[in-house]
Order: sequence, then C-alpha cells, then structure tokens
Amino acid sequence: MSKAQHIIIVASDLSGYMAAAYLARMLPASDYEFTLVRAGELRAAALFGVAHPDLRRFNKTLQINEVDFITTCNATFRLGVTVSGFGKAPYKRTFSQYGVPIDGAGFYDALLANNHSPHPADLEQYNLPAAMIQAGKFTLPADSSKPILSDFDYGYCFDTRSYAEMLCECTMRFGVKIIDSPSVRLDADNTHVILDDDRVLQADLIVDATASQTNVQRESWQDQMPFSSYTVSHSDGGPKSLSLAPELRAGADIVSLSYDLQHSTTKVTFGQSGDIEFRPGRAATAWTGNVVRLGLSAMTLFPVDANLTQIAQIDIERLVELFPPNLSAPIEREEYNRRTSEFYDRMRDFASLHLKTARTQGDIWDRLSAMALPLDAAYKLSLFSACGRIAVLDEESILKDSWHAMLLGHDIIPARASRMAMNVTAAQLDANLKRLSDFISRAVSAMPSQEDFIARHCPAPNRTSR
Amino acid sequence: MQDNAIKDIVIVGGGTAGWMCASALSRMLGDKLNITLVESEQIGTVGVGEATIPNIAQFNQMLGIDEAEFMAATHGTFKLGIEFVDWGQIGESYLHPFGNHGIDMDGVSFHQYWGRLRASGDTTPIEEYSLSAAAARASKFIHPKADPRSILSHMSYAYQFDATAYAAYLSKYAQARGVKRIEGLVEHVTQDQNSGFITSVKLQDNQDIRGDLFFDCTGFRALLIGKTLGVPYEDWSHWLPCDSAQAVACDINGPVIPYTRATARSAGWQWRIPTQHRTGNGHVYCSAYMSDDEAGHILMDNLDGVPHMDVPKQLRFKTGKRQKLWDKNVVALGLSGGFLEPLESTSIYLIQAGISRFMALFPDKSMPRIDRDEYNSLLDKEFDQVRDFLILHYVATDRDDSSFWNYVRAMDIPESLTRKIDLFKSSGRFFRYDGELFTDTSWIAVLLGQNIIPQRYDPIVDTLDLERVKDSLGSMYGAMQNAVKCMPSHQDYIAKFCPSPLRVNS
Repeated sequence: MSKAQHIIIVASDLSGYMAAAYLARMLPASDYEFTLVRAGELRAAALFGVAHPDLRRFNKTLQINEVDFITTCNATFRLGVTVSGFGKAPYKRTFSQYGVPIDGAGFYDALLANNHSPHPADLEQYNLPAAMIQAGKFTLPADSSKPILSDFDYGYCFDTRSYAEMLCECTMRFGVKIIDSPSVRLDADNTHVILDDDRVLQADLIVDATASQTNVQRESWQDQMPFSSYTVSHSDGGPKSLSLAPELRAGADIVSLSYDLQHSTTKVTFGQSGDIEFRPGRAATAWTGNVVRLGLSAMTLFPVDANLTQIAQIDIERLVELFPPNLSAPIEREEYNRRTSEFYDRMRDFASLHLKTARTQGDIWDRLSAMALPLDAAYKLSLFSACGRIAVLDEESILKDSWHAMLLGHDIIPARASRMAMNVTAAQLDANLKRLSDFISRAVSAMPSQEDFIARHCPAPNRTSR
Repeated sequence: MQDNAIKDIVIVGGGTAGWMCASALSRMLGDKLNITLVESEQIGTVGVGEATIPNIAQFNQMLGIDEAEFMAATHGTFKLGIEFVDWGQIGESYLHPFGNHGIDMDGVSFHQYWGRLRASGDTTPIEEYSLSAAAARASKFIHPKADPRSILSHMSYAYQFDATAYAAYLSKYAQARGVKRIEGLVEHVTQDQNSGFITSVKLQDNQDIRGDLFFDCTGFRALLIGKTLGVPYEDWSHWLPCDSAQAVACDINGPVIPYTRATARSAGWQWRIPTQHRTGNGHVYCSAYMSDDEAGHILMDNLDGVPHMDVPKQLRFKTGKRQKLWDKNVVALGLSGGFLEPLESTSIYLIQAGISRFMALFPDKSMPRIDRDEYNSLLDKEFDQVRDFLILHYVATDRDDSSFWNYVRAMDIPESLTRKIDLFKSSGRFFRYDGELFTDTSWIAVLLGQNIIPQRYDPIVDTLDLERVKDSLGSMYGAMQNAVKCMPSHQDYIAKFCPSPLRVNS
C-alpha cells in the first residue's frame, strides 16, 4: 500500500470519541493515520449516559477494563428501563424475556389463552432482571449455561465526560493525534477540515460527529416525536438506594428520563421550553462523498429506549465491518447507507409507536394519538393487534421482548392467542408460573444489593465535581 | 373468542408436503382439530432420492422422531455437504460444506484470514479448513458435539434419503395421531359464492369433504391454489432456465459417501444422491438447449452402477413461485406453491418453512388479511433468497463451452444478487440479511469455489501479524485433520447406528 490514508474524526458528542478509539484499534496503523478533533465541550452528554449491554463488547475490544470503567465513570449497573405514565401502570423492559415457553407455546400466548393479564406490570415476578430492579439487587449473570441465571444481560448508567476522557487515552495509545478546536468548518467539497485557527487539514475520510444536522438534506420526525427541547438537571450526593434502571416518565406535556450514577442523579426533561434545542430527524444519507455522519449529526432520536450510545456503537461497528480498502470510490458506501437507513427506520418505528400508543392525558398526547404512523410501524401495530406476532424487519436491533413489553405495557392486547397455546391448561399454566416465580424470588433474595455489590467490587471515588 | 376457531382442516395430496403438514398439525393440534388428508394411489409422487439441509433436524425434533429409527426407515445416509464438479470451469471441484470454515477470530470472519494467507502465496483451498468437508472427502462421519470447546461443534449435517419412504413414514406417524386418510381422486371443488373460499372437495365416489382450511399439496397440478383460485404463477425461468429432468436410480458401487454431488453438464447438471439401498441420479437440463434423448443418454452414460430402469423417469417443470402462497383459505405447500431446482436441496426446507410460519400465525376462520400478508411476505423472502443463491451457481462461471453456459453467464440477474457479488469482489465482505437461510459459509464456499476472488482481503486483518495468522490457521488445520483421522467411516457408522433392512453392503 502506498501512502497512509488520513481519517479525521470531528467529535462534539460521545459518538466521535467512540469512533476515534474504535477505528484506531481496528484498522491497521500501517495503512491509516488518525486525527481526533475535539470540537468544544461534549454535547448532549446526558443523553448518551445510558448504555445497553453491547457496550461491554465495545469496551472489551478497546481493552478497557470493566472495573476501571465503572470506577472512573461513576457508573451503576443497568438492567433495563422502567416506563411510567405510558400505560395503565409502570412497567419494565429488560434485556431478557418474560416467562418461559410452556409446552411449545409462547409465554404471552399461554397467558392470553388462559385469560391471564399479559401486562408486564403484572409479570415482574416472571422476569429475573425485572425482579432484581424491583428489589434493588444485583449480581453478574452466571457464566455457564444455567437457565434464567445466565440468561439476563446488563448495561450501565455512566458519566459520559469521564468516558470520553478514557476514550481519549485509548486513542493516544493507538497513535491518534488529538487537536482541540472549539469550532470546526468543512470546506465546500468536504475534503478539508478548517480549524479554529484557520489551519487546514486534508482528509481521505471525515467522520462528522458534530451533533448538528445543518447543511444536510434531512428527514424530520417532528410530527412523530414532538419534543423540541430539553433541560438537564443533576443532583449531587446520590440517592441512598441506586436504581438499576433509568426511568422514562410521561407527563401532561413532557417526558423525562432520569438515572442514577454512584454519586449523582441525572434527569433530562423533554418538552417545548427547555434550554437545549432538540430536533428529531435523520440525515437522508449518512455517508455522502467522504463524510460519514455519526451520532446526533446522523440521527437525532427521541430516546424512548435510552439507546443513543448503542446506536452510535452499532454504526461504528458497521463502518469498520464495511471499511473500504479504497476510499476514493467505495462500493461499501452504498451498502453502509442501505443498512444504516433500514436500521434508523426501525428505531424510528419503535419510538413513534412508543409515543403514539401512550395512554397519557394532554394535548401533545392527543395530537400524537391522531398522528399517522410510518407504514412499517403501522404494519407492526396491526399484526400485533391481530395475533400477537412481531414482524421482524431487516436491521432490527430492538429486542423482540422489548416490542412485546412496550405494546402490552401500553395496553395493546392481541385479538387472539396463538392456536398452539390452546393446549396449555389453566392448571399447567399456574404450575409453571408458580415454579418460575419461586425460582426467581429465591434467586433474587440470595443476591446482594447493588450498593453492596458496588462497594465490594467497583466503588467510584466521590468527587462531587459538577 | 374461539367460536370462530378452525376445526376442520383438509390436506389435498399426500406426497412429502402433504404428510409433513399432516404430521406437524397432528403433533401440535391433533386433539383440537379434525385433520383429513386426501390422496390417491393413482397419482404418483415426484419423490426420487432426496437430499436435505441441516434445518430438517428441527422439524424432526418438533415431531419427536427418533433419528436412528427415521434413518433406517427411509434408508437414509448422513450428508455433510455438496460437491460441485465442473461449475466454475471444467475440471474443477469444490465442496459446499455444512458447518463453518475455520474459526472466526477477534470478530473477523475466518475467510478474511484465509485471504491474507492466500495473498501471501499460500494456495490451500478454503474447504481444507472445514471439518465437514474434510470428513466428507475422507468418507467419514461422527455426530457433532454441542460443546463449543469441542472441535466437533464445527460440524453440521443433514440427510439423504428416499423421499417416498419419508412420506410413508410420516403417514404412519400422522395417522397414529388422529389424521384421517381418505383414498380418492378429487373431482370437484366447491367455493362459497360470496367469499370465494373453498368449502369442500368432492371425490369421484361422491364423498364430500368439508373444511375451514385447505392445504394444497397437489404438486405441479396446483388443484386448489392454481386451477380453482387462479393465483398466477410468477415465472423465473429467465434466471433459472432449466425446465426438464430425468431421474433414475442405480446400484451402489463402492462405499456410501456422506455427501451429494452435483456435476455441471453442457445444458444443466446431474445429481448423485447416495442412500443406503441405492444411488439416486437425475439430470436437470434446459430443453431449449438439449433434446430429451441427448439428456437421457448423458444421464445413463454417467452412472456408477447398474440402472434400475431402462428408460429414466421424465419430469417437466417451470421455475417460479405463486404470487401468493396463501390465498383465501388455501395454503400452497410444496410444488403447488413453487419450484426451484434441487441444486441446493431446498425443496423440503421450503415446505418446512411454510409449515412453521403458518403455525406461528395460525388464523381463525375469517383468515385475516394481516396474517396472510405477513405469511406471504415471509415466504416470498425465503423463496427470493434461495433463488438468488441458485442463480449464483450459474453466473459465477468461466464456462463458455456451450450456448447454455454462454446464456447464463451473461444473463441479467436480480439486483439483490448483484449487490452481494460486488461487495464480495471488493474486499471479501459478505452480509447475510436477516433471517437468510444460507450462512456465510455457504455463500463463501460457492463464491470462492467458482472463482469469485476478492480483489483484496479486509484491511482489519492487517492488525494481526502474518506469522500469527499462519500459526492459527496451521493449528486449526492440524486439529481438523486429527479429528477426521479419529472418526469412523460413514459406511461403518451407518451400519451400527441406523441400518436399513434394504441396506447394500459393498
């Protein structure tokens, strides 16, 4: 290979820091040169502070030790999300399924066939992580294939600024050059990055993680996600008992997302009159010419699944998977855009259904419930309402279990159960439910509280710095 | 809620499709439904020798069938893959193995490491890193192990058996679970005047069999979905132009091998499927490029044992699929729904996919539109993906020795396939779309086996030192050779595990 190709990552939100570390780790140093341009203060920090289990894979690849991560980032464990104010009762979505199949029939089908409530709020004793969240207990999943005990998964709530610093250390280790430039411009043909001090850097590929969707053709999602701003509040000191799941709560004209770190609590409130502008929508094409958009500059999603970090990670991994040997005319770009579009649309479908099916009172919710759904989302809703199946489309990354919990949690009950469930008698169902809840409640009572677990394994120093 | 529930199901036609459907329904819902299957001994089934893909194990497991018993009853053998002879170029051969090639490392596909070695001058074919392929080439077999630490977890297998015997075996199974079999020919089909739903089929002896739901398993005749409901057939013969086949069984000569062979001929290809009691052979060809006589001669001249018939059985078909596989209250399973040549042994799989999708969506009498749409779109995807994979075998070739190959080599192909090939050519990337049947291993085996070589390997592989890559691949290779050495011969394994009463020991 002739000359090394130059990749510049312009980072304003966390996705840029993640991309710099991951690209430099995965691509051979002999062929590529990397520059990370830190474009000002980390933006949207609070929105990225909630991670899905995938982040563990990401950190492992970067050789970031888990205990270091938790203690440095003031992190807590996350087993799912608690959703309040959307359905008749608060419910939980975890990274694990509710119940177990009974005699070849799906769990929900067996419940429906026996007139048992399928609302996830009524089923917490049949989902190990939901019961753990409820009890404030935590332990790591069992490592062998023990049913249930090894079947759940966890992510984190963490401080994004500390994580960005950790990622910078990684990037330096991997030979990335770091430049600070509060403002950054691209030239007209997108091959140069112009810094604050008018220095010009030439690039073969630019990763645009500037958290802004200006100067780009975009698709607005304002109708489906009608929250145009947000406010962030922190409280220091931390609560006495640490939650194992962020809470997503719907009010008359707001939605809030709050989560605990070891020594503080963060609350993001979305509405119409917050301090920070929020424009749901996506760039029509994520990768044009030699600019790849990541994070909020690619897609600004209303985070009902608290998954912006996960989305950035999946995009970055896809970029590496498809990284073209020849950056001047890559066939891989088209494939990247095709898959990314599908992926974003799936996220949009979940978020728009989540908001539209809310049972919340208020003007905004009335408007939402009258809103027309995107076609794929409408199809999903009607299939589920008819027979309780989830139509899985290409590039779906939302778990089937999350779809089930969300729709049932918002009181959408399928018109009929699967015929396979007609074999399950009430006695059989009761016996199964009892066995399962006994097992789960015994398992949970043997676990330490999250506070004890953290104190023993990974306590963060209390730096009330904010 | 269940007032509108389906109670009476009628399956018309009793070949492989009909009895697979009857078995699955009776296993899952036997005591809730009246299931009737109408078949006639006057109508033969198409079944010759049948090869399958590994998914069939799930179907048999769902039925709770004992593997050894089933194999003995169907004269079955194990299948570790398919050998393709003369496809990329005359004189070449490669194996499409079940299971994987090598072991992925650091999240990067094995074939990329293989590509790096190849670029450094190593000419070892990729199939030598597949345990299934190595065992197949050595005519050995042992059951894979589930434990991921065992090298035997990298193997996977399917079966080769007598399809007529399989249907007979399932017929016994289904009837023992309450399926009512009626012998007779359908003479008339009655439809509801308003909805067009089929209400009953009337037999020659005047029996009128009513049903809420009908499965059309009548093969190419497509009595219900085609003749009665008039659902149009989508013709794919511009992509897969073969339209005829001749089939004949012959004596076994030599040990029974654990794989199927597909040899390209000048206007099609010939299959060879070894079962315990005979070898199944067939020649699939395109009648526009070859006469029936010539096709028959080629088949009969290329058998490795004495044929069981003087004149092979002649079959005609048109490649394609019904526009809707479920219309009104009729679901088409098997050949009535569509036909794809058996180059990758997908016929039984497509029946199985239809049954399991249907079970998941099991409707009520009103046959809701949303259920039908979902079923049809899921099955369309399955058919399209198999179709693309088959087309690949014809376009990835350098053969220019006949007008048939000149046509297929240059024909227009579906855009979905072009994208896959181009992406692979660029740097060996391959992506399996959600729910896609054939794995990366399958696609890569055929792409590389037919000389589509990426311009370069994935840049990520350069992060590993070349010597380390050599070491890792060398030890994988060694471990596989060792494992094969320790396996029993396929012939002996079958003799112990599942001998058929008709088994020929040579």
